[in-house]
Amino acid sequence: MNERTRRLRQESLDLRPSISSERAELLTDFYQEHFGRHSVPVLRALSFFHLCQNKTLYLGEEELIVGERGPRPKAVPTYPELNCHSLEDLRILDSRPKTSYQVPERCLEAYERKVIPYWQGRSMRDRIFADLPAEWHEAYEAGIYTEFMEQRAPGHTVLDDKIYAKGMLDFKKDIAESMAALNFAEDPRAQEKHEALRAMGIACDAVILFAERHAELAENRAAVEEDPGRRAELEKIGEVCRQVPAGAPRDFHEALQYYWFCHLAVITELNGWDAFNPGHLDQHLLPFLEQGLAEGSLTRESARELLEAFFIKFNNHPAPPKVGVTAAESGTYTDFANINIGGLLQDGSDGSNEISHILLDIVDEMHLLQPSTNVQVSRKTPDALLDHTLRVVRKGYGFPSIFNADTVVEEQIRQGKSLEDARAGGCSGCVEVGAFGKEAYILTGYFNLPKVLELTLHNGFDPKTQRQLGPETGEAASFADFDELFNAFERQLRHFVDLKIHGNQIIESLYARQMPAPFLSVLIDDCIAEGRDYNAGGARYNNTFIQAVGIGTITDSLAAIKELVYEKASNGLDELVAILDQDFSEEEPLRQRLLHRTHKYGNDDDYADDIMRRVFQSAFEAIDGRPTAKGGTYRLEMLPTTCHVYFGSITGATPDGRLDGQPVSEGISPVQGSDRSGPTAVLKSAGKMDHVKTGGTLLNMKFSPSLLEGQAGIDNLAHLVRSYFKMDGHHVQFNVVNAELLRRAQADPASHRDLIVRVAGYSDYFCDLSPELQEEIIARTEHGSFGQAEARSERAARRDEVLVS
Amino acid sequence: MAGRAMSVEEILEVVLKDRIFYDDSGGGVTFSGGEPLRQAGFLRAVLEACRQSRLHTVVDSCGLASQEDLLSVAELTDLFLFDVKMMNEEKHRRYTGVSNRQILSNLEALGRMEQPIWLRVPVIPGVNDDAENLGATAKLAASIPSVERVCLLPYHPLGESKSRRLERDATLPELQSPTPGDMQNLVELVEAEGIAASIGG
Repeated sequence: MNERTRRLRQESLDLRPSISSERAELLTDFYQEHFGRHSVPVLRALSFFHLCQNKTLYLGEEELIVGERGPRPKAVPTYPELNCHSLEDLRILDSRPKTSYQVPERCLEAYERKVIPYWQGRSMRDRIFADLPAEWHEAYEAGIYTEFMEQRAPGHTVLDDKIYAKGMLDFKKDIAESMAALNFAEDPRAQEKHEALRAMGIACDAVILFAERHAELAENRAAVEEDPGRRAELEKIGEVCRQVPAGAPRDFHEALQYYWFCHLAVITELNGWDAFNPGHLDQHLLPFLEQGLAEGSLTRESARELLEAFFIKFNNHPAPPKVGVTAAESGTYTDFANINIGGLLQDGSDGSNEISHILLDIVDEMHLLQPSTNVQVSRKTPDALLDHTLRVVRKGYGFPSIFNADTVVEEQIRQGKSLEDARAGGCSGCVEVGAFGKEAYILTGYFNLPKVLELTLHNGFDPKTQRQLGPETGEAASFADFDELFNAFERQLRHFVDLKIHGNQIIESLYARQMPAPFLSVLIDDCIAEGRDYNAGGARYNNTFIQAVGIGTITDSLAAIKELVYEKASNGLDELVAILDQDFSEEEPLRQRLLHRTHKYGNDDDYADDIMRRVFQSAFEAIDGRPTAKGGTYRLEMLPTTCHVYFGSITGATPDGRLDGQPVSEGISPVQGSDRSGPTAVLKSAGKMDHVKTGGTLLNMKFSPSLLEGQAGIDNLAHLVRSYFKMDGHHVQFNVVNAELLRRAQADPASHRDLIVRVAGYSDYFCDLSPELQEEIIARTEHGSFGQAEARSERAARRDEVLVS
Repeated sequence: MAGRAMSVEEILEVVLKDRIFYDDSGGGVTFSGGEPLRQAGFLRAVLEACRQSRLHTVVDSCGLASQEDLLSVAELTDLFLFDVKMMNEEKHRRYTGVSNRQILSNLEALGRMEQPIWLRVPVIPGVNDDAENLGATAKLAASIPSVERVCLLPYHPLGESKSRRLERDATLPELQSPTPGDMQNLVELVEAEGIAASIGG
């Protein structure tokens, strides 16, 4: 980092996130005047144009890459057409202790006077909740599943290489061609397509205008700038913004600025999930780096400075805050933009290059909260790149996460994508797999597997909400054997997946008709060619995920039932359920037995792992391959983000010894603290899952820093990663901080504000996490050695110590 | 004390669970102790089984064993870790209670075989960290072609709590671990004799 980058970075770190009502006000004004005068897509495009034309611009004193979504860095706009914050929401966001957003008085006033009166009852959230059936609401309130689109628009996608060869004017030509080819005489959807295409054309103009406004601002600043160095920079910024996004980028600077305008446009148009993401940045930028170095217009230092400026831009953009918030809740400022490093090229060769290493150096040096980064490791990835990656991982910030690029391709081939599209794809958000630039891959909600078991054990009744939520599949005492119980579980599972899909149909249809995304549609193939919006199924591939949570908890629970109830017959199932209902009160010895003397997933123990595979297969069969409303397909994903804490809080005690309210297991990681046979055993167990059938799995591991010391520590970790990937493991991420440091940070948050830890598919400031999540992260087993045999002897030694002392 | 009886098959079953990791890392199994040569017959059986499964094997020994046991085990071992605590027989007897003659003669015999050897020296301040002892150790190591390196293991006081639990007096009271700087000097001293040296290993 040079001095300028250091200052820009510090500025970005120091600024407190705030809420800006500017977008909400501009949008409300526009809707008040124009609603009903245009088709929905054109109305959306014109409102986007209105925002690009009128929003306050920002050009920081030393900036090289320009443009902010809000009127200044870290000022976050709101999206009342999707969900309208109440005054109480805004006050809580302003005052809550963690991940707060400063809310100016002016914003409250505008919301009270203008925004709330217009949008209440009209927002997507209000309409979705009004349309969803009562049964859906009951299961939702009981915490069986969550719903992503009640807070934000579907987005969840990533850009490919198309913008580096084409400007918006080129896209407009494509749009015009597609329009010219419409056949109104024969195609009953021609008019629909016409409006979608018109909207895309308007969106292109809006972004060009947005850039030209920045050019003008830079030119005006240059005219009065006294420092000749800065004057030249401002003139260059002006030139860049005149060229892109209207035309294709001609150099490294223009390439980055072009992407950044696209990013801002996507996250201004709607508040789509996971912001947006340049995908394989190292691959896209390589030609520009090589050309700049050859021409002498770029040095490695100046390229790096531009990249650093680009990274800071991501950090300036905290996630838009939720509505319906509670004071106790904490969120995250992370917006899940996740840059891919390495991976494969379309022709199947290794995609890593010099920029991959520069990006790793930047991650290492800047350790910003955003953007997230991940490294795609294929069989062809050089050891040197993995080595470099793990040296950064060892620092303990949780970046980057590591993916198996070969499995990522295989997963997509199974979904029916072309080999080239699959290779050009990668991972985004937390761990989701997608064909970059060609796919809408939408997370729709987490699904609580342990809760479904709880309902199964109570004949479809939920003890928490005191409601009969599921079908009656039999009283606990009525199951003759384990298979009968498991069949009942499968029926409950299917029932709630059906209900979730019913809800998704309603939401997806609403988005397709009411909330198109014309600008995003310009960027994702084949929306232009098909004349169909991204939210209406215009992408080449459309996959919709349901994310199963708690595989560890449910596996251990079923393993305990199988052994104790059906094999050893030491307890009746009804007896066990009664004990769970009492949260193990007076039954601590039984709980200890369940915790320590039953089979646990994560120990390379086939007894437990076979049950894991059976549950996984049931979830897969219930979800995979079913059709979505916009012509796509449902897929299973094994990802928790932080939802395992919430799901735990509304799930009663479980047969694995877990107490009422405690978090359930996260991702595909074992239950916190139950993996006692070392990391190789965890990887073996996790490797028994058929990752290729998913759209992503998430595995967390925690290592004590001492284990990773020296080159030997890095080599050992690299072997561990390569071995896991040989088993088709999809993803692994590491926390390298010891429990002691985390305890110190809890006691003294003020001195540990900058402590970043890996949470789920992203890293976050430890002190911003809820107390439950902090405890949960501390509880994840910290591995002090690598192998199973070593772990055994270590455990024996520890046991020995306990006995002696 | 901890520990339980296991058969050759049981040991192999645990070891082979991590097979996929050894294949990638070139890792394998290390037999240490106590003193693994105290169970030479059983050790040979396990090593034989490992060899059949194409696992890399290491035996970590203090070198005090019958030469016949040592050599028969060495035949089945891929790498030998061999402790040489002190070169001076008198001092060796004083600190360990036994002469080092058997150990050194075992090393000489082992050196005539082809298996690579790493000589390991626990560096105990004031006991064996003098230039004379380490210089002599390094010369010996350099004279045996199959010795690949000398590993200098800094003394650590972790044994003290064990001594207390066993209600014994600590044998080396108030001894500090050598500093990284001290250890680096010793590495240089050993390497000056023309043999590779490392801290730990």
